[in-house]
Amino acid sequence: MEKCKIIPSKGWRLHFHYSVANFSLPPRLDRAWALGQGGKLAELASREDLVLLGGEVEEVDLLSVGAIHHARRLAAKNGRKLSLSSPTRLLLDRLAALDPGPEDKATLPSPQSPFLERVGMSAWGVFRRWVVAGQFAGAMIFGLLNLFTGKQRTWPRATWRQLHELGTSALPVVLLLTGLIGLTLALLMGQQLAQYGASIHLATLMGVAFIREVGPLLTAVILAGRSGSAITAELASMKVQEEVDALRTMGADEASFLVAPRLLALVISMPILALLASICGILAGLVIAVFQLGLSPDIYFQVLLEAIEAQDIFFLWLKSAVFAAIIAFLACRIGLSTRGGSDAVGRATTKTVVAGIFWTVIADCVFALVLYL
Amino acid sequence: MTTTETKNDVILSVRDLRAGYGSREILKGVSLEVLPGEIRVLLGGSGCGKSTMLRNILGLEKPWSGTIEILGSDGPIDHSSIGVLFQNGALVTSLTVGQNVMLPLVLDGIAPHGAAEEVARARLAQVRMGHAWNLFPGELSGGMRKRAALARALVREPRILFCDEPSAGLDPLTSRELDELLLELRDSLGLSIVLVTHELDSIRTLAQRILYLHLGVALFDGTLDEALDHGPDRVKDFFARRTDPANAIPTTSWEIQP
Repeated sequence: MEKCKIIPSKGWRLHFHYSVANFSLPPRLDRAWALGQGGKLAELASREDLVLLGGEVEEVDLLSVGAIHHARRLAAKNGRKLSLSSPTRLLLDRLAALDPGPEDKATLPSPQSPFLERVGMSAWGVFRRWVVAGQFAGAMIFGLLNLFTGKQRTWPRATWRQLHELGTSALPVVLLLTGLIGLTLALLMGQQLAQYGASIHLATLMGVAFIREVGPLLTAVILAGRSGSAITAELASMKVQEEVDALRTMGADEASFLVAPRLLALVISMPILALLASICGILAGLVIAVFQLGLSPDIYFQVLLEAIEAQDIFFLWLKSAVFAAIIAFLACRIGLSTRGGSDAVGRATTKTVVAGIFWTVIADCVFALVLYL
Repeated sequence: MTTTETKNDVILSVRDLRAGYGSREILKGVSLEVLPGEIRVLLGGSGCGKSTMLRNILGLEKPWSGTIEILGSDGPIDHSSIGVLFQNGALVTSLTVGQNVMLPLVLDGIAPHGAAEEVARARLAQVRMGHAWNLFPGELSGGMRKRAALARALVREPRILFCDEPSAGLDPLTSRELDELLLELRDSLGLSIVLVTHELDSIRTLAQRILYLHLGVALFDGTLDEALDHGPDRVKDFFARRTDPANAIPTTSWEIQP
């Protein structure tokens, strides 16, 4: 125990004499000691310098070792010292076997750098990320060209396999969701239009909304969640299991071998899926038009065809292809830059879904401003 | 081996290699030479830079400075002259074992082809995995995965084979079988092997020369006997502790008072 004795001396000077308290450890350091005396030891150690007298210890429980180490950690945190005196071999062995070590200075937060330096570092970080992303986009395009020209080879029918996994197998969920949303939208809009005697314009609204907007966007959102996450999960797990490194040491160009087939598959399949989704949504509108609003199918299709122009189909194709390229780019980039273990794969997948939807909506806004403003 | 090569031709030469990640320097000027048919072992404690060295040699990371020459060339790596056995095999999980072994030949543009398939089947049989042609990596045990990966690494008849901890995660018997297989392949194919391992048994079975790394520098370069006879204390300690775990001295960060 730190004792401060004030010893009067000549000239009224004060002499401070410090001594360090001893704390005797009993022969049996069991669970009961850890839960009872261990807490007191920690409290004492955080207040004053202590020496643990361990010469009599014959039995050491795991929890007692934890309690002694905890006391030392608290002592260090409060600027105090806890040391051992004449410990038995058993105590020393047990402490050494479960020694978390002193507080790691590297884990302490580094002193904050000046504000301008932090702003500069952040800006530099953002700039570097964009440069790396640009390089990846370039590599992706070259990978695609290499695949077409046969300069780099990939597994035979790799693109077909991706077309099936990313496109064909996504068809049921895309059709189901767009059909249900089409049904809901048609129901709500049909009721409003009926109030003004304009039920016939349901066909116009459904056609324009689905071909120009809902079909491509909804398909992109569904594929960002389904196919984008699948691409990232597959590539990220290949990355953390060193499969990508193995391919590189075999001379495979990852842009051609891994990225290009996935990019190509999504760019081909998404416009087809978006068109089919739009048709499904429009047909859902037909169901409401016929059974709710009492319109005939002939009139519905006649008004629909008058409302839709050939360029709308072209823009649907273009938008969907751009959305597909964005999703494939993000999914492959995030997947191939994954580091760490299986938890990193999960984080990368989530990141792809969020980034995929975010950038798709941004691109959709840009298309809307450019095409329809 | 081509006829122009002599016994002293160097298959792999690394000179004064400095490398790291970000601003952290891991390798501080390490040199290494591998001769034809030689088995070279890189060893050292965790974080000493063994894997970083291997990744730099294989072109997976860019060195800060120094030169790396494989078969006398310091240019882009000729991938057909090297084979790599990764720690967990790194087989492509979506392909069958047969497809994995044929993969390097696909990249060379000579597969799928009957002849290429026969080569792949022969390599797989050579590592005693002929029965696994149609199996997927997920259906194999750890030892089988490594043997299949070994067949893939050797399918192009490389001149040098790099192995990253081949015994990791294997029981002693399987580990010994893999060591014996590596020796057999070295003799039959005239391979040079660079091996990163911690296993003392493997080192004793395989190593002709060892390079001991400590904190990014080469602490010892020579044979195992030389290391045990007049190597630095740290190297001797490494082998002593490995040989007899009872010799391990408990270490503690506690301050002991008399």
